[in-house]
Amino acid sequence: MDIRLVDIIGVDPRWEIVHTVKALEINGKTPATSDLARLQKDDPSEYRKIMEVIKEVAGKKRVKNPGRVKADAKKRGVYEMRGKYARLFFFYTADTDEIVVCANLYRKTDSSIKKQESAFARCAELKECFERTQKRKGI
Amino acid sequence: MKIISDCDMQLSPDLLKLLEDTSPTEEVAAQLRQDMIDFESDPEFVAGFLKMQFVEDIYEVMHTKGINRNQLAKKLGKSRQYVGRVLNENANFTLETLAEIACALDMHVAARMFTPDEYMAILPRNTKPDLSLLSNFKPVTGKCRKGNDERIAA
Repeated sequence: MDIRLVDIIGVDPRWEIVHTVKALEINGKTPATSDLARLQKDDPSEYRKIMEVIKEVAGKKRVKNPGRVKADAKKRGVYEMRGKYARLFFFYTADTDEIVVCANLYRKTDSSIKKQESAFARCAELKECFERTQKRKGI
Repeated sequence: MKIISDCDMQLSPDLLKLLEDTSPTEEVAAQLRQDMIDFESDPEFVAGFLKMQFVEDIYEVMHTKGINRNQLAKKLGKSRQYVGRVLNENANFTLETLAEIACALDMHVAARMFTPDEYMAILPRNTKPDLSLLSNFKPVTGKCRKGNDERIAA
């Protein structure tokens, strides 16, 4: 299984003042950008909102506004960027704290905590997979 | 694009399903490129970001000064609900709003225009890692602020 970090089309390199923002690709598939592309088509306004948060996250050590960035309640080191209803899940690389890795996106259609939790869990799983590969390489 | 490593972890059925439903990266990138807009030239994006950044600054100052919503409302002479609307980005943000909040928090605020080059010059120095060196990357400490200080000293 190949794990790579790929660029997110639309992220302006000038935004990356503090953190580089990338997306996690597994076996040639990138869930975060795939869902972003769908969002861009379905709801450009919501897509803009998520891109605004990406810009803020890229330019700041940690965003304090919980309405825009919320940490996982189970403290697995994953976070969500929040638009009006879209949520882009991400984590910071553990050793360097320099790279924001976007893992997956979730569209909140109801107030189902279970669905939201499973989106957080997916991101936590992707984070674990990413970190294991780094450990194997001794990074 | 750089291969970091291969993963020997067994992915959950949920994640495998997610990957199955995902289009290949290159296909997605082509679609994003096709409909890409220059966000920095898009008034909706610029306004949305300014609003978000201002609210983030309020949170930052409240955090630093140990001020809660009630205290901020008192300082502003407004209701707690009003402060809630501001922090939820639902208030009507006028220049007067920005000035009132900044003054109440004993801060300064500026609304200025810059050429793209000037804008880049005032940003902190970028010290994030070169991804091509990720395999032997060592953490950097004392980033942005240090860059700024060096620039000021120069």
